[in-house]
Amino acid sequence: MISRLKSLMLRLLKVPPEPHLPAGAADTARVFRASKRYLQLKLLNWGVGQVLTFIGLVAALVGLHFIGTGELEVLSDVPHRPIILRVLGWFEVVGVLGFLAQLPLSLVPVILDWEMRWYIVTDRSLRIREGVWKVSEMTLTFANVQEVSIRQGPIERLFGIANLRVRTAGGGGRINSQDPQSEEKSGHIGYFRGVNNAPAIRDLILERLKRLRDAGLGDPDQPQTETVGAEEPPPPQVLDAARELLVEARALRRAVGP
Amino acid sequence: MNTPPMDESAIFAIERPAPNLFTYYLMSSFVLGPLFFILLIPLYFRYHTLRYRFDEEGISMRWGILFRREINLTYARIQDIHLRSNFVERWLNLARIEVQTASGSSGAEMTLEGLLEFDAIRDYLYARMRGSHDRRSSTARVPAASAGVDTAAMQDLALTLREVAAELRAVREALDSRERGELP
Repeated sequence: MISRLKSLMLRLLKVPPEPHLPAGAADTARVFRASKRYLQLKLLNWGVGQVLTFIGLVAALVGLHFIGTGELEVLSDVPHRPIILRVLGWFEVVGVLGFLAQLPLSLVPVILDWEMRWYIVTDRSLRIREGVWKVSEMTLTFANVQEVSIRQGPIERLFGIANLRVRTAGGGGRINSQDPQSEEKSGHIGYFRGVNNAPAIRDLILERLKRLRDAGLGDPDQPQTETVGAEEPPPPQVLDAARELLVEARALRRAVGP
Repeated sequence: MNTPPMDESAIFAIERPAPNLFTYYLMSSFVLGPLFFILLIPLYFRYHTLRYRFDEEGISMRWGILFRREINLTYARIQDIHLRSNFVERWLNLARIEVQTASGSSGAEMTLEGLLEFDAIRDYLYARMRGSHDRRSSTARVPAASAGVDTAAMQDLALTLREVAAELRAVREALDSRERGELP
């Protein structure tokens, strides 16, 4: 049933399939996915939230019951007491039904969010695709990468996963400016969320970065200037100069000769 | 989903956003319910005045009726490209291409909306970005390509130089013989 719901949701939301590789150099491309542990962590999060909601619903039901039977001395002096209790009872029913209905509907996005993650590293660029409701695909070249960092919280460490962060030049702000640990929100940051081999990916990125020695701030591409020099045919002046030299030498011979 | 690469001239020809964009604007303005016209009026003018221009060096887009805005940027300064779409946009075959440069803002400097060929345009922008072409492979290709072109001219040059050398040798010999003739 979950898989049926999943494919239905993918179709309804028109989620595009796997992203294609950035143009060129397909043989060096490596595709990373979020770790299975990341899904487990997200499911745990989801489960805790659901359990808390459930406890809240049960507590409300129990409370309503005791008020109804008069064991709890609340609302005893309020006019229209039965009507209010009736309305509250309906709210409770709607709450329970809503809770049951959202169980699969909120579980599937959690799974899909984990499934719909691709982190592609080629020899020249990165492409990060994520999202189900809002699909976001980010492409950047290593020539523009400024910083690579790994972040891991205590629970993530327990699960053996980490978030790798790649930044390009440009501004950004923290979501919560008071807390330096809070995540930054900026289009200039690409996140590899929930990977279990973050150090290996970092080494791969750094190794590919090492081949680029400029500042990464918009210096012109080297090849363009190099190719111009090498592809140019020998300028006609060179040939002309050589010919002129020949004429000169001939004249000199005639002058000194017999 | 691998779309065929788009011809450069086809991209340069893009000027107006697709009509789907207006549909999207219409739908997004209904978020406000009966007050939808508050959102819709500026979006209406934005859609009708939005113009793109792609050329060899960069992109420019402009819009606005009372307050006109124009954004220009060059391909080489692009830092990263985002392709974003929410599910309403996907149903309308739309996506936003957000282009970022290294300026101070955390948001996108330019958001290309209403382009049906977003995949191809994104790939084109990526190909024009700094660092999308490997330095070593492009320099390695150069000598092989230029070798065939230059051989005739090079041979000509070598022949001429050899002739110059022969002439000079003759001069030296002539001088030699004259000196030998005068000295004794």
